[in-house]
Amino acid sequence: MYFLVRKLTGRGNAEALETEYQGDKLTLGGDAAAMVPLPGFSGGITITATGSGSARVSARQAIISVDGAATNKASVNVGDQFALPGYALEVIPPPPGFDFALQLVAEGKPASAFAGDIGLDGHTWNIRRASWILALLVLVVGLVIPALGLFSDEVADTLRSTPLPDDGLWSSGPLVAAHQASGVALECQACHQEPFVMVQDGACLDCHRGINEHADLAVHEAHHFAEVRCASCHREHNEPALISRQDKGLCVDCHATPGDWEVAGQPAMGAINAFTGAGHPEFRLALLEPQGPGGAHGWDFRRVLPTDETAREQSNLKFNHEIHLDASKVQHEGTGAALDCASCHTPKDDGEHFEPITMDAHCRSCHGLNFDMFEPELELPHGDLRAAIVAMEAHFIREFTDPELRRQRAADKPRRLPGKRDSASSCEGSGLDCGRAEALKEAEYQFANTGCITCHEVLETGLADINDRWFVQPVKLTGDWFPHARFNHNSHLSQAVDSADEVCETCHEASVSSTATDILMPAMDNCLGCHAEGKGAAALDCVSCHAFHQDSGTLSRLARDSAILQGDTP
Amino acid sequence: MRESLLGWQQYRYLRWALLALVASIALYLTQGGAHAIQPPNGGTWQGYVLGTAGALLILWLSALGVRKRSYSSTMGTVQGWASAHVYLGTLLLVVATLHCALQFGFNVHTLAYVLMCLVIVSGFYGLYAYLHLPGQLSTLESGTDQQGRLDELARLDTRIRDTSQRCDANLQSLMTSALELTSVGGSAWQQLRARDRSRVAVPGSGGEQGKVVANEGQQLVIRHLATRIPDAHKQSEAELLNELLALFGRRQVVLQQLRREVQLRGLLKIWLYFHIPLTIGLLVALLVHIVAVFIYW
Repeated sequence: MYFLVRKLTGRGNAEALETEYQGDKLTLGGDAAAMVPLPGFSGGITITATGSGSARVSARQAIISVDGAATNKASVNVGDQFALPGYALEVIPPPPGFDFALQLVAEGKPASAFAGDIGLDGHTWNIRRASWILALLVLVVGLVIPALGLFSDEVADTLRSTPLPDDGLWSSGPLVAAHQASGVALECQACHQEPFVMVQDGACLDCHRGINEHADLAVHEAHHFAEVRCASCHREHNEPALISRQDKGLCVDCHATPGDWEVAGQPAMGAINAFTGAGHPEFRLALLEPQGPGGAHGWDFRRVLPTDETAREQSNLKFNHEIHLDASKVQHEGTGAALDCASCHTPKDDGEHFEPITMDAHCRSCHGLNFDMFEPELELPHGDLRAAIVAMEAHFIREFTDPELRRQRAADKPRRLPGKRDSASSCEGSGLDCGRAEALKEAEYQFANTGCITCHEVLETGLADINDRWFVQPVKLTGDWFPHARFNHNSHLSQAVDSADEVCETCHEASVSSTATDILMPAMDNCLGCHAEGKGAAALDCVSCHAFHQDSGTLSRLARDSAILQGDTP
Repeated sequence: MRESLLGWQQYRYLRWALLALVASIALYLTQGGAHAIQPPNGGTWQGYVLGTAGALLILWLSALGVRKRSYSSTMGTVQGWASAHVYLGTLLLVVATLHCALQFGFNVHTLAYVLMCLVIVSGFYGLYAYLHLPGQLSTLESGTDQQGRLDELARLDTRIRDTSQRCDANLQSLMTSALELTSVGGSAWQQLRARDRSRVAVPGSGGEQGKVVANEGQQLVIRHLATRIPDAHKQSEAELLNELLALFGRRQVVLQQLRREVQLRGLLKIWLYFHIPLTIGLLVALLVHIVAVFIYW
């Protein structure tokens, strides 16, 4: 198709420039791709000839002005006039050979073609409107929508489970790993139960139900702790920092001046300012002592200083560390190697305490309880005096009442065993009498000479009855010398160079201890060498050794949930 | 300009800002450490002090927009306010950073911080623009201004149209389209780039269709006129071409100055399109930050 465009120069003399175009359609516009350039015009129109000088005109936007009405589509015939911004157009009769002809005149001054383009106004966003939009966006996304969740848990859940903004946007930092649990991690209200109210202790104690107060509120006045919230010491949203307060002030704020809060009649506590020789009282051991003869009224702790040479452990055990650690005297049964500390002392999982030492696991391999040289593999039961006597009586009575056994015993030449009683090989009398007599002799030997009495304190009552004649004092080893402190043996053993025993010996001088009544516990000096305040990296905080929340006492859940902290006694 | 804005009253506000800076850093350093209840952050008492100082700074800095428009105000000179605005705005960057102790996350608190940084960075650009561009603009505008240049351009175009009537149709068409397809400014980006996007429609010849080609710096027209002059058959034609060449030469200069002027005025102003909306956004984000902190106290 052939198009003719006649462009008036606009100088009033009807002078015109005519240009021919060929194509499916004619495009007019401001961009470089348009066939007919229209300077200063930002859009574009397309003209398709429909025959006999008519055409369809179309544009993306409603910029085509026909009879004063703006449209984006129009059909034009010869003689029709229409307008585009800055231009007036008229459809003229196409000359022969042409399908469509258009007359075009630019309106306005040439300079004004870009006069509107030389300032930022109108070409950027409106500052006022942009300010409003940004302000509203921040307000709605950051506050209004997340706040909807405060009024309804369902709305809060919906917000959290969709990409919509939720109250997670208000979080001031990540939670500690322990709180990254379902029901806590995303549900802010698990802790922040009331808007504009600080996190209440109840929120913590809903889960941490076993936590005890620092002091027993039955003893100490509760009001000392009334203003101390859980969050006073436990600050969340600070990961990777620790969630628990570690500073010295946690303890010394009160413990520097015990006179302010001490209760009359309770054991006095020394003033504590720092972990130094002068700032911390000497350690006090919890020494287990029998109450009444032989512990008849039970056992209780007495606090003694480790430096107190007169303090003795009364465990009723006889034991000599020095001999057991002497390789020339005692060796491992299997390997023949010398014993070391770990042969008997195995740390528990907590790294602080030790598994109990038992006869079966640690002693019996050397200290067997065989009692009849004719049957050396036979051993007495351990730990039950009555059972041991019954076992001896039963064994000997059976031997002397059974004619075959009795004859065999008389015929066998017994092998002498060092440290064992020479058994009677023959006896005149009934089997029952002979058996009983032999049992009594053996019992006497076991309890008074070399068996039980090797390791145990045995009380001889002087009574005639074999069952009442001896009493083996029960062994009571002190299992926790420092019940109010924690200590990790394992981390200290990492210092071992050649053998772990060297490390053990720096605090527990076992190799020179010849009696079990020695107290092998260290004094504070042993710790201060490395861990005193000012010792650098190894210096310890109070909480490194002491727990704030006590193992027993007043349950925080009860105390903080009630009026106790307001002064009532629990 | 430089002395009066930055050095106002012997750098009074620089000294104030440095003093406050040292105090802020000293305050910051008193928190944290291995034995603190919590690490340095906005929740310690030092954090609250720094945060309150930061919030008050933001409010005061925003008030410059109000003070600037209060022509009757006697509350300090606008110049003094602007000087303080620059120094205390820079101080704010440090105070807010110390307040948050570099704890960032996907939350409204960091949003406020980011908006604040954007405001301050756009402000730094604004300071640069105010210090350096007006000098260039006044050098450029010596003797005339934007309207004068537009008027001169209109006069040149009229003379070119008049003169080109005496040329052949092809040349006349070329001249007219060069005038019509001259481009100055345009969108904000085009105004700031100031690239000459002028074009010209070269008439077709020998059955070929005409095409529109680039006419940067009116070069194509000038080159065309220059090559035509030696081929002129008549003295009058050569004179005519010469006259047109001179007119287009002048037009080239005026257009170039106009574009540079548009660019400089744009660069002087464009940062405010960011600085002001971001400031309003920051004020709201600050409010959201404070409210959010205390909703979940």
